[in-house]
Amino acid sequence: MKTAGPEPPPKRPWLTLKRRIFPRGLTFTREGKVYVGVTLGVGFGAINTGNNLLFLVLGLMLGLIIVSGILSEVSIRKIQVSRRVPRRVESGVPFSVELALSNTKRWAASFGVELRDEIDNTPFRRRCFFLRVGPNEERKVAYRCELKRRGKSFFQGTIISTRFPFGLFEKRRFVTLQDEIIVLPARLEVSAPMPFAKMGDGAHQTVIAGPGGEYRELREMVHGDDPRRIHWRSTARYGQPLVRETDADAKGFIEVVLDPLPKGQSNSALDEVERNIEAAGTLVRDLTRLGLTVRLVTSSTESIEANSRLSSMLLLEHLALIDPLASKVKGPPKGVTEAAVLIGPRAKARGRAYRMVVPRSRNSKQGNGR
Amino acid sequence: MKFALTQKVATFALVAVAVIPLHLSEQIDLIWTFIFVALYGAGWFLEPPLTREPRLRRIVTAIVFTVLAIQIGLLFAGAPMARLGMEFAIAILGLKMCSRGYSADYYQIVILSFLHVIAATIATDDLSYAASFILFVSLSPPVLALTYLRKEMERRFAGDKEKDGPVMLERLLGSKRIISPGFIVGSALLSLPVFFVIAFLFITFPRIGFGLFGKLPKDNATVGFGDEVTLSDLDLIREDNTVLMRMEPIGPFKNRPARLPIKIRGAVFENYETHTWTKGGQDQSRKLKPVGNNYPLYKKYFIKDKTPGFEVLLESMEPPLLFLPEGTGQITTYPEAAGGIPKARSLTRNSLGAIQYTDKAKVGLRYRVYLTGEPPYGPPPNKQHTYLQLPPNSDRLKALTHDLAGEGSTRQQIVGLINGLRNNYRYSAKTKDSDDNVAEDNPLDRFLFSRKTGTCTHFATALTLMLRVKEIPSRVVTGFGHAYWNQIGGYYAVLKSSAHAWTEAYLNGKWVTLDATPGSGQATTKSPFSSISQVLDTIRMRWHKHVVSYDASSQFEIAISLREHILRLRKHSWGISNPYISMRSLGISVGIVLVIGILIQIMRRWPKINLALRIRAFKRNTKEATKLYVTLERRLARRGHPRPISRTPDEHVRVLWTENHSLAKIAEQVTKRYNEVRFGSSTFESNELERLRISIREL
Repeated sequence: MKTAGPEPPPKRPWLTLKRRIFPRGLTFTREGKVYVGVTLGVGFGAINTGNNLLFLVLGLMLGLIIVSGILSEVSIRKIQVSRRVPRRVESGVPFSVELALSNTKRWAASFGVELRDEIDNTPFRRRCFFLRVGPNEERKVAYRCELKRRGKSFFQGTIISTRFPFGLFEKRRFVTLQDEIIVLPARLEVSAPMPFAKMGDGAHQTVIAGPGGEYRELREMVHGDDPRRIHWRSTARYGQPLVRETDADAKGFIEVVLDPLPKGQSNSALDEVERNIEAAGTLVRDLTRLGLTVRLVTSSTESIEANSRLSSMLLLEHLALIDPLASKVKGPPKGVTEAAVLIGPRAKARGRAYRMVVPRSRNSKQGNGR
Repeated sequence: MKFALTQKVATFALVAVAVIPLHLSEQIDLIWTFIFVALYGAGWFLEPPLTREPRLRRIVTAIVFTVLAIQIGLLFAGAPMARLGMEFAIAILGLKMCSRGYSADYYQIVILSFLHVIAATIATDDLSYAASFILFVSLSPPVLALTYLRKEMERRFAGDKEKDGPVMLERLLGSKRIISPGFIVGSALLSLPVFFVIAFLFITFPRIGFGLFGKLPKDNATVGFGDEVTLSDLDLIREDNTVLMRMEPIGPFKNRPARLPIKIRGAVFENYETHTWTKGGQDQSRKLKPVGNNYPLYKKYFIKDKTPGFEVLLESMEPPLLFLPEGTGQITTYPEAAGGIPKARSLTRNSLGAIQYTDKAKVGLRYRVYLTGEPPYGPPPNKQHTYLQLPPNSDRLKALTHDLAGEGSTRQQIVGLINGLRNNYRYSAKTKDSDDNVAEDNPLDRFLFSRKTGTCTHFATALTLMLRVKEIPSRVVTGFGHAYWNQIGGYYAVLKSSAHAWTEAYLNGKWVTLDATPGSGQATTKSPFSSISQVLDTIRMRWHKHVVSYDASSQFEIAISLREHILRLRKHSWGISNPYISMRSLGISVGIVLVIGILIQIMRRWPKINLALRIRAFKRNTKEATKLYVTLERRLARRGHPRPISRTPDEHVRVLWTENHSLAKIAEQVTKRYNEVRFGSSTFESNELERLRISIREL
């Protein structure tokens, strides 16, 4: 699926190829630039004058560079990194990413190691620093990450870097460590149309499982199930714990009809669509929290329904992955029930509907905001 | 020790080590040394947060700019730029020591220390530089590592004021747990590979030397060897035990007395006026014609391994005179790198026979002299020379000359003069007579007729002038009279205090050395060298010979000796005497190296390769086992016993056995092997697969 969002991350095939062939990088620190400059000057002076003492100094300066290169290589070699990230996050809401660094060297410790995730081909601004990781030692650290661009975000890998031992150079090693996160639309300051929602109260039979009273089926017990829901007779018959699954009690039903097609290719038009999607997401969250069953209609062919906070995630994921530029071919969305909230100019409903006015954003979001 | 204190001590030690050679080089005025010491001392007591005060830092910046302005002014006034630059660097470093507040300041201090070490290379090449350099190499890794750690701490905590970052930073800087003695030792041990790199680069890097910039002129003028010499000049260096040259014996040298009486010739003077010897008006220099790097002083050119001689290491001095031991017949110099090409040294001789060299690098000279017993070098006297000139009013001198010489042959008269001076006059190195420098006075008359005590210059002057009275062309030569054996270093050291003057007379078509100074030529005087002095001078000699004077010719020598060593090894190990390496053997050598490299790589990657091979074999076996079982199933189906999907292969075999089917045995065999290979770690043995296939085919 094509990545959603206003600005997809740029692809860098050359960088990928380079990392595959030689996964190392080197940059000079400010002090390192001065040091290298002085070294070049000494080298020129030594070659020019033939002064042996300058050759000694040149040897010293080059020796320190070589030692620095070897020790930094030792520091970032044989290091394994693992990452734990949530599957879904909300746009603009900080979440924590846990990184575990294990030094698999038998004897040598790693000093001054920094980890930096690369998200959507861009190194994240936060760095996780480990002053010392002993041999065969594992250290964990968590950092707060915040993603603003709706859609799928990719953690391509982790950059392991060190400035050890002299702080003159920063040596980097790229480790491929892929993770995928779905960034759900951000929450907007819009309120759910409560009076409108009551109109559909009890008018719809839900197909979503939930803590209702109507029997649905027996199923195997899984972790997290309430033990009070165990059906003891069936459990005794089949020799394994079975629980009763019921249909959710639907307090009401509401349809959110979202038109994701932008009016043009301009930034403001795309920004308006983003705001509409965010508004739809906010409605989905708020309405499902109230116990309402929500059906989301985004095009003539796409509709999805949810009635709990857990299942509302499916709707939010759907919203997160909408590609405004690809929605033209799917036709305008149309609500099919009596109660509908219309967002966007092309959104229509068969019956009564409430057209929601989404406030315009003050500033257009640029990039991922990291 | 606390982290901050450890870093402070290490940084201050590094700075001290870096600046000492520059201040000892005498290129820096004493006032700058005092200024630096004051700033260095103040810097020790000035600590953050005071040093982080913006006001203090602004004051320091203002002072730096003021010093810069003064130095620029002095530059326009004609002061040498290099010296002004050094003084400015000293000022910056001192001020930086007083305003060190952050890791960036420490980095700047380290860089400035490096610049001081670099500046010292053009100011001095003494042993103090060697000692300082070794300490600097040992200290720089720990100091840089500590500075790096401090920077990391500041990066993490200094800017994070919301989470009490500055407090955390201060706590870390005051912590005793961060730096252990092991860290200091470990980081100092990093200097070992650095030393290795230094040695490798120093030995192998080709010496090109474009010579765009020279060294700073050294204040090393040595009296007695310039354009003129007064009768008391050599007294000025009589107390100076500085080693000026070292002579390592080469060839057959049997006796090595502690004090070697040997006349080492330097400057030659012909014109005497009242109290001063000068070179005369005909001092025209001519280039000596080399044969390769050899300068034969006479027509005879030779290269003989058995000729005794000395390998001389001469310190840089002004004027750049070449000192030649008596009997020198040939000089061999080492080429200097100029413009990237090894070039023979340029030697010149003046009309009196003194030899000079060019010393752009200001590191002295290394050369060889071969002693063939030749007379002192110099063209014969001609009309342009003043070898017979006498001072005015020399009647008393003439009378004394006739009195001492007596009657007889020329030889007898010369012996009479020498004996007369030796027997009637006394040598004293401590003759101090400031009146000798007074132009109106006649110090020679005072020596001959009243005091009767003098230095070697008095005796040489007296004998020279007496010979001239007898109309024998003669001149005064200054140089050194003896050398001291350094038992530890295995060379003769010539001290400045061994400076001596004597006479050369032109007799029977050649110059002859004559010395009327009493006591000269004796070999019993005890060496002024103590054991410690000998050790120190040996180190100094090695430093100069192997480091300061190391050049393209030394590299060439090393390459030649390495080649000879390899050839010897080849001859001893494989019996190959051909010095040229054939393409075949070169190819074999390269092949062996490549094979060894590949083997090492394979051994390193063997676990991964082994795993990959095993996975590949497993996949291949699995595929074959499946194919085999599919073939079996087809055969069974054709024979009316297809395996239902709901039945496992083992169950199917059991069914076949139950029905006592004739194919049960072969089906069991194939199924068993299929299970073992497909789901276990077993593999097919050689021919096993083919055998099972044939068995199935025969069903």
